[in-house]
Amino acid sequence: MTPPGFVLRSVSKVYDGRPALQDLSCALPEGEHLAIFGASGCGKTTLLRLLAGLEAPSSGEIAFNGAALSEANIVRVPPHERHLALVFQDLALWPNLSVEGNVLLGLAGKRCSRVEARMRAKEAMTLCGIAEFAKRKPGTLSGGQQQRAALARALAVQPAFLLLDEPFSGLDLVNKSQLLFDIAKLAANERFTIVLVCHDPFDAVALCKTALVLEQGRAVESGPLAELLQSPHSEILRVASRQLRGLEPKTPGS
Amino acid sequence: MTSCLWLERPGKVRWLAALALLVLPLLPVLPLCWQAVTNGDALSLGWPFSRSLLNSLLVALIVSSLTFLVGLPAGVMSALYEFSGRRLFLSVVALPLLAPSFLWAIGWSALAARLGPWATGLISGYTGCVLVFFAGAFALVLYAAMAATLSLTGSQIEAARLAGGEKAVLHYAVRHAAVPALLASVLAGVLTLSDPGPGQILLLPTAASEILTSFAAHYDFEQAARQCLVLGGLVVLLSLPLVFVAAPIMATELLARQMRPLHRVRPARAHWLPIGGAVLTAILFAGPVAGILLPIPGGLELERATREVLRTGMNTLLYGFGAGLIAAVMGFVLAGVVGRDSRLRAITLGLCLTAFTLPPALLAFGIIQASSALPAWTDLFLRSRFVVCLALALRFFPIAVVLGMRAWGSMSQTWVHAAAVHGISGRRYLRSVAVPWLLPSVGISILLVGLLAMGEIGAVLLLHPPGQSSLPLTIFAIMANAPEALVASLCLAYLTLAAAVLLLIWRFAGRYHP
Repeated sequence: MTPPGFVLRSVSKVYDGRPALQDLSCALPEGEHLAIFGASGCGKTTLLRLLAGLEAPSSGEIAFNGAALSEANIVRVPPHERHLALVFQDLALWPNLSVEGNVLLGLAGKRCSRVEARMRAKEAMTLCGIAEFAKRKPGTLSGGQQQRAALARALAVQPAFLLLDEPFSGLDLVNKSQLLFDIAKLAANERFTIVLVCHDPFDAVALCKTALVLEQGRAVESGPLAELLQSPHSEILRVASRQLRGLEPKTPGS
Repeated sequence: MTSCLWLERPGKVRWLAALALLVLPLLPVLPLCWQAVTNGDALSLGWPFSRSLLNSLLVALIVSSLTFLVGLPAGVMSALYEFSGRRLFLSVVALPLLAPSFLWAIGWSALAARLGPWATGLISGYTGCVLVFFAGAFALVLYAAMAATLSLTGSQIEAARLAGGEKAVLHYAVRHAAVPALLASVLAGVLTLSDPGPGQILLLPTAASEILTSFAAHYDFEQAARQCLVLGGLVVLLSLPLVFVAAPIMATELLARQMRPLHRVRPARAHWLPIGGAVLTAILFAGPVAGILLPIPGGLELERATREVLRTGMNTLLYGFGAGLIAAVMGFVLAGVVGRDSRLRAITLGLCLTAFTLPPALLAFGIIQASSALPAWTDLFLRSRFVVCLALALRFFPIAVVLGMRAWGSMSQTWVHAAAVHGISGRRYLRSVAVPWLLPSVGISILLVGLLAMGEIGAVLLLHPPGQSSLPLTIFAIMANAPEALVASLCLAYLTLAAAVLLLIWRFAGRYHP
């Protein structure tokens, strides 16, 4: 019996005749945090958008617990009914609303009372360590605080899957390490599954146990991250593996 | 629940809706065009109008060339360098926005009359028209060159500076800003073709002033409409190349992007910059402002001026801000409908640019013809103040479209995507995020279109209901016969009103700009 979670069957996505994903088949079981690696433009973000239901695949099928979510050119289940939340690369915080306003509006699609929404918002902001900035607008916060606000908005809906699209790209090392630690702790406590799109192997190792490597829209490697790093086939994992073992300097000459 | 993703979804519906909104302003003109096409000799206009057309073209050519030559370096240097009086210079240059061009023409004409026949001879005709139009066109070209230079990143400027010092920076920036400045100068030249005021006052028969004379002095509607159609056709022909080149550039530039802004430096030998700025502003503005203000100490016609202002002030504001409101709603809806489709954006901008260059009287003639052909009960609508607002709105709505596109473009696509993931309906998203974000730009658009519409005389002259004139139109109507001091007092009152609106725009734009 297949474990509960997302299943992709021969999924392809084409933009203006240019393939972004090609014949991708894989499973994303609940509880197994997955890192998606690949060079820029290999289809990582497209994959997240297809999972989220923001777009329909050009062919193939995406299912969740056996039920079809999307088929060729059709989104059967809209994004907000997929039990997931997405932290965008640019965070997509609504700038005219305060942090609390962002989290509360994020709960607008859930059928909960105003009191319950306030409670869930407060809880999420506290979990993410952003409660003291609840009344501030995103533009007045630092990069790290904005990441936390976006995370709080995502977690307030109590998702089964949390999709993270390169969320740490603009952060300094100290903030990033702290945030990685906090997300890992939250995932364990709140029991959601992480799907992380990233470039940095250190981020992936800190959060995920399994990985999927994409090259030009195709899956070239997948499996437990530790095993993949032991015997990598793709260029990106070879470099990541060497970096993790400290064999290759991150910058030439350093 | 309907997802809000439709707000960002491209599709044929957008094309159809945008086309419908763009055709709307042209509807009143279509019967005129049809009449011209079906009537064989409708476009034979005789020698006097052809001569006026040549005068207009010559003035437009001189204004375009001069503004490009002066506006490009001035705009680039104002963007790159910090110098004493820079803010003042940029504010003074915006003065032509304050008032319709005929007020400046009155200023020059009054000054010349005071100085004697030699000055009247010098300033009348081509020289005066070029001076008046140059002032307005200069602002357009300067701001276009400045905006183009400011779109360069700080790193690009620093790289040029490292490579070859200030000479390399200037060379690089001028090359970058040349195309937008050239397009702005051509646009400014084309816009002069439709402006009747300066030609009428400074005694140069231009095509636009001939149209005004045909209608207002000879009461020959048919002739005026035909002349207007010919001028419109010529303007479209001239603006087509501009539209082809400018629209795609504007469509891209209007999308927001993040970059490190350039840092203005104070060059070592910069003392000539404020001197140049001061000389330029003195040439352009000291003369007409002196011409307007000098008669006032001789006898401020306060009582009559106040009576005129009270009689026409409310209509002036109503026409201006009524037009601003209608144009802002139309422009922002159109910009929202167009969305992020780059081809549709470019085509929409192209059509808007073309519509903007058309003579404003064309639309008014179309409305007049419609009102004479339709049943009498339609007069309630077609001869009302609302129609004046509508005509002015249709004239200036391209400005609202540009501001709307900029404001919509400043919203990230992922805002809608985030809303969709959270199950927020389109209506809720618009109410909670999009509309509050757009409102400041809508406000700026209402004020800006309002300011420009307040000063427009062509459409108001042709369409206003009896006794419902605006302040600029009153000045235009009485300037030939009324005492100098009264005209001066009314000009001053209008300038004060317009300055207050301009100040509002500045404050508003300074606080919120997306």
